[in-house]
Amino acid sequence: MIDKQLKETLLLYQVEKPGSEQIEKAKQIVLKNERPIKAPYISAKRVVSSQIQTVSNWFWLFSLMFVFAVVYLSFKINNQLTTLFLCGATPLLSIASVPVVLSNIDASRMELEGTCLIKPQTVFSAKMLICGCFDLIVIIITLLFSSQLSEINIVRSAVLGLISFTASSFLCLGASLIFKTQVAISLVSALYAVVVACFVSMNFLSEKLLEIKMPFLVLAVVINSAMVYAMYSVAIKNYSFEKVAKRFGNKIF
Amino acid sequence: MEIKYSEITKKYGDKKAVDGVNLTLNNGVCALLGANGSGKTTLMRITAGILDATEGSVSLDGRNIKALDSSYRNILGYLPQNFGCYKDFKAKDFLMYMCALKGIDGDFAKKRCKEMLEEVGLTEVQNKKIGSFSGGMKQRLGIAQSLLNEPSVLILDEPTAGLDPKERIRFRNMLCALSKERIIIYATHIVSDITFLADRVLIMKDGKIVADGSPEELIEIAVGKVWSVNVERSELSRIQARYSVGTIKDGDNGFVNVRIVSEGKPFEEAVNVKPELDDVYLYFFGEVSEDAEAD
Repeated sequence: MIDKQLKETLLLYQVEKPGSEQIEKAKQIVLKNERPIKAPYISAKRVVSSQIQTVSNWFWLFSLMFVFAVVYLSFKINNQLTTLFLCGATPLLSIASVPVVLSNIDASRMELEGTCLIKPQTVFSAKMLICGCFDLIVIIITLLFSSQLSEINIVRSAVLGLISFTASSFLCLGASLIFKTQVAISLVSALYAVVVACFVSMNFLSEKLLEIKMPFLVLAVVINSAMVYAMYSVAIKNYSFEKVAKRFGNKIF
Repeated sequence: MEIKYSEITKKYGDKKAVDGVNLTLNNGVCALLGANGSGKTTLMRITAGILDATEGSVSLDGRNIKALDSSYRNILGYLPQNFGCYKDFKAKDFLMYMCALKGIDGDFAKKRCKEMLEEVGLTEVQNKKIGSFSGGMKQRLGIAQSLLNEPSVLILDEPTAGLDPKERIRFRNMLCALSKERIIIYATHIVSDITFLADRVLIMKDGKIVADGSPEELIEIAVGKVWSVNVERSELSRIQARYSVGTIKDGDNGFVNVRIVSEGKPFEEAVNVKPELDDVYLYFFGEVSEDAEAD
């Protein structure tokens, strides 16, 4: 189409017919000048896949170990304890995500990635999405295996696991906005895991937990998820090169 | 293409890193010359859209770069002064990753990565982890990533830092070939880098553009202000405190030949010499102690 238009336009000026090389050159100039208004569309799938390769192998390995550990313990302990154990162990998944997510909060890397077509905020969201979704998949797989090995109430276990996971995710995200080091952020979630473990180990409390009616548990999941989303929004709002550089003191200024 | 800066100011607290810059840049290499802390990097970052200006705006062909958003980033190539990357990545993987972020598709991405690795001489180490790279190799990789999307606006902040002389020449030649059809903004404090490369030189001091012109035009500023004189070696420290001193060459019998940049004739026996771009830099940035000035 462009070739035809160019040829017709040039004929109007009664100039010598341009060769294919000249046409190609003119076409490239036109296309180049057109580029500012033609940023290509990048699908969410491509953004996510670009980020998967940046996730450390340790994260995948830890998640795999988590599945094996919980499933193995399903053999050893009774049904109720499997559910409660899952509650206590899910914060570990959030802790494992901390270094993965924090690896993106680096001013020197953001400076480079921030000039690319995909916005740094989108990259950061994709990284959190990968960790969050993968952890959820791990929890579901663990539950499915555990339910085969012991007669746990899979729905109740899933909901309790989700409550614990969303709570620890909220804590990790919140801590990442306050503290600067991976250790400090992980400690907050680890502290939460210890509290949950203590809670679970006290029989009368854990029995009460298992007696809570389902609608209340679902409501807790919804509230927790909303809190995680709110914290995610704050994290994204604060995710700019200038703010990160100032906060983490990358000697940028 | 044209990049226009309108009253660009960037403040960090009370300090103005960039102070009311008004400027228009067209295709070709524009070198931004200035001492450390003169505001070059901040201006580069504002141009790259990484930092927001406190006041003023940057526009590309009349359209604000903030409004152009992804369309601007699509035609932008940027090499920061110090850039971070995933150290576990291999060189090839890093470029492929940058291609993904720049929206470059599979086969074309592979082709561009191969071309750029060849261009910067990293083909042989493409499967090595970046963590094992020397400073110069990392810098070359940075240059390669900045060119992946064939940018129409190329911003390079101290690109030759860490490069050996051979690589520097290779890089200069590469930029020369690229400069015809794009805007290249090149921040440096190494004068020799830009002498043969820049179509236009901007000198930045305390956040302001204090000089603007072709290298030849800027050299004109220093005409009649560059002096050569033989002095006793023992006098050297006193002269250095009093004047902006350039090259010092060893002479015979305890004498040294000193190149001085000064408005007036520093010594009776001083001879006026032809200035170079280094002298212009010294003219603007040469440190003279306040006590000596008071003398």
